[in-house]
Amino acid sequence: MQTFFSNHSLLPQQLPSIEEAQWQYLAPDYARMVLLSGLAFWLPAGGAGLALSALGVIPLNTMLVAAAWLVLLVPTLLSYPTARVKRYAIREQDVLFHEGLFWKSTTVIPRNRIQHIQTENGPLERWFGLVTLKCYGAGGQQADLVIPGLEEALGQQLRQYLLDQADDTDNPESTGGDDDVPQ
Amino acid sequence: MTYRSDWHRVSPLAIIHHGLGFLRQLVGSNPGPLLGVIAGTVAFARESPLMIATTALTLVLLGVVMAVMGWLRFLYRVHDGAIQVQQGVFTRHKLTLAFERIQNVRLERPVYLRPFGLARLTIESAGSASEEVHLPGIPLGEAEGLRDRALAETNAPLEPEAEASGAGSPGTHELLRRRPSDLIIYGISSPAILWGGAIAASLMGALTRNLGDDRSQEAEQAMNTLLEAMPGWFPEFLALPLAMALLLVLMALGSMTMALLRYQGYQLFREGERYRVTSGLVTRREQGIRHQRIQHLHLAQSFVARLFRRHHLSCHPIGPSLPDQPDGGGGALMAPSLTPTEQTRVIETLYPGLDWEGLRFQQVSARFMLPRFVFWGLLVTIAAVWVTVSDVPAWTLTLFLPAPPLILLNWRRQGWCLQGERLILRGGLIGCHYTLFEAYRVQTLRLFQNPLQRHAGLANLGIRLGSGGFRIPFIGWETGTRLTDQLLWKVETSRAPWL
Repeated sequence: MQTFFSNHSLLPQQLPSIEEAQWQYLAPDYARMVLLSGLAFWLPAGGAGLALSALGVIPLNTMLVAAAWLVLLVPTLLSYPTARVKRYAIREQDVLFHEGLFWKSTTVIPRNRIQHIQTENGPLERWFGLVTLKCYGAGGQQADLVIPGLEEALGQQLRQYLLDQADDTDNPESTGGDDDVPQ
Repeated sequence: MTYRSDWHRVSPLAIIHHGLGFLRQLVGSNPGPLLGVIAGTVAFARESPLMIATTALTLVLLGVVMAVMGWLRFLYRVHDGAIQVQQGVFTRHKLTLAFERIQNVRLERPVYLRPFGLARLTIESAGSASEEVHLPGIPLGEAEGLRDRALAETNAPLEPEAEASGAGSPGTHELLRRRPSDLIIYGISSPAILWGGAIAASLMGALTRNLGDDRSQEAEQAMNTLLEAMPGWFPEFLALPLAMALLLVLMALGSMTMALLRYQGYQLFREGERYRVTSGLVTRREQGIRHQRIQHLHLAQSFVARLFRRHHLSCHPIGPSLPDQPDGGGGALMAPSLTPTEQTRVIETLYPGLDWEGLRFQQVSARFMLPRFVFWGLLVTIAAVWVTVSDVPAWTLTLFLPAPPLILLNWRRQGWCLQGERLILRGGLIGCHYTLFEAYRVQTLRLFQNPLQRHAGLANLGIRLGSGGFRIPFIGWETGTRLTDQLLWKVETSRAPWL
């Protein structure tokens, strides 16, 4: 395919590239938490399925249910490496998030487009001391960028840091961001 | 209650508006339970008519009392650069919407308000639908005053890059006018009728299948009586295609009527920095949007519209992208059935300096067709197996013949073009769709790929604006990352107000 930017005055090589972002991995506890919650669903669900089919409440062969149960173990176990490849990057001007084991995706939200930021933690996350950071743009119903599995202190720090930056967008002259983000 | 002299009530006629809205919700969203209740009531009415009558009377009275209470409790005022509304019978809601946050304004004059010099004003902000202000039944002069104020309020010092081409001439300038013939074309080429046709075809298909089935004696009988009722000279085999054609014509007529009702007398004006559309036969509707608020422009073309070489244009402000609804929902500003010259003229006004005819689109990879071929290939295989094991005639397989050329066409339609500050996306099947926006309007970018795409060095680029999401499929990974970098650079260096 023919390259496209050749007629632009700014050479594309000079642009900062998303491929050169410095990626930070999520807290190691996050992958454990995901695996644990997956197994915590898989075990009782399978147990209940087996019991119901053995008792004849649901008209399915017990062996078939057991096979389905084992097959479902694969995605449950895969959630661990999936959680391990998730990573984020905070650059001067934007926030990046990368995920996916097979279906990979990289999401970028420019910091001057963040409308509000929110941190959340459910009971399991609280137990592991983790938070989820959500960045919302304008006009959408859902968060545009979600970074799960941040250690609580880091999550709050990041939220404050991004909030400061978001406030600065009203005042374009300010360079903003002299807070320290632990890298 | 904080009743002060500057709080106003709307006209009591607003009760009609709320009543109509309630009925529409009741019938439109979920008619099933309602029908059940009615059926139950009818059955019960035979047993004890008095009880039903009293219940009905109580319900009606309760409804009227609620409506009147709702009207009494609905107050609004203009205060401190904002519109404030308080409403609610049991739970009081108070909403304050600052003029500078207003995204678009709609002024409607339904038949039941027109004789009284009243109007209905809807004001939308960048937030969710709950932040909408509806003022049903306020004097027309006041509504116009509020509209002008909402559209005029500019955060002027923040607009160094506002693309004011005709600045300094706040006079009204008519951009576009639609004749009934244009609207008729819009009616028959809007997608609703195509869906209707598809539904009708599938219904007919189901009916014909059932005819061969001896279980559905009734359908056959009905069909026979219908055939007997026809004149003797009428060939029987024509009955079905004729019925379908008749249905299509009926739907086309319905669609045309809707288009005429909705857009009769359509005029698009430019007044300095804002656009204003007036249209509507029964409900006169006026819609206004500020130039800067337009997030993206969409040009749609169904295959019928392609026959007439027309495009339907819509300008989308921030907010969830709702289709243009006949009852006036959806914040988009429509310009139906534009001829190529009108289209060029409108685009030139909205995006000055864009050489629409001279755009050179980048193709996407031919692998775009692969998943589509696989999908249709699977369908054909299933159909072929089905033909061999059952008595389905083999000619049905020929129905799949148009699929490959259509997939090819669909691929050829995909394209994108970054011209200066603007990104233009192209798509479509037989007709051609375009989406146009300034690069600095981008809010989120997402580069994603499946395993096969990664193997082939390809990716999709998802672009989200405040007004909706778009996708450039199957572009080279290298191109994708560079386009992402380029767009990010444009967003992050832009000081233009994008909301």
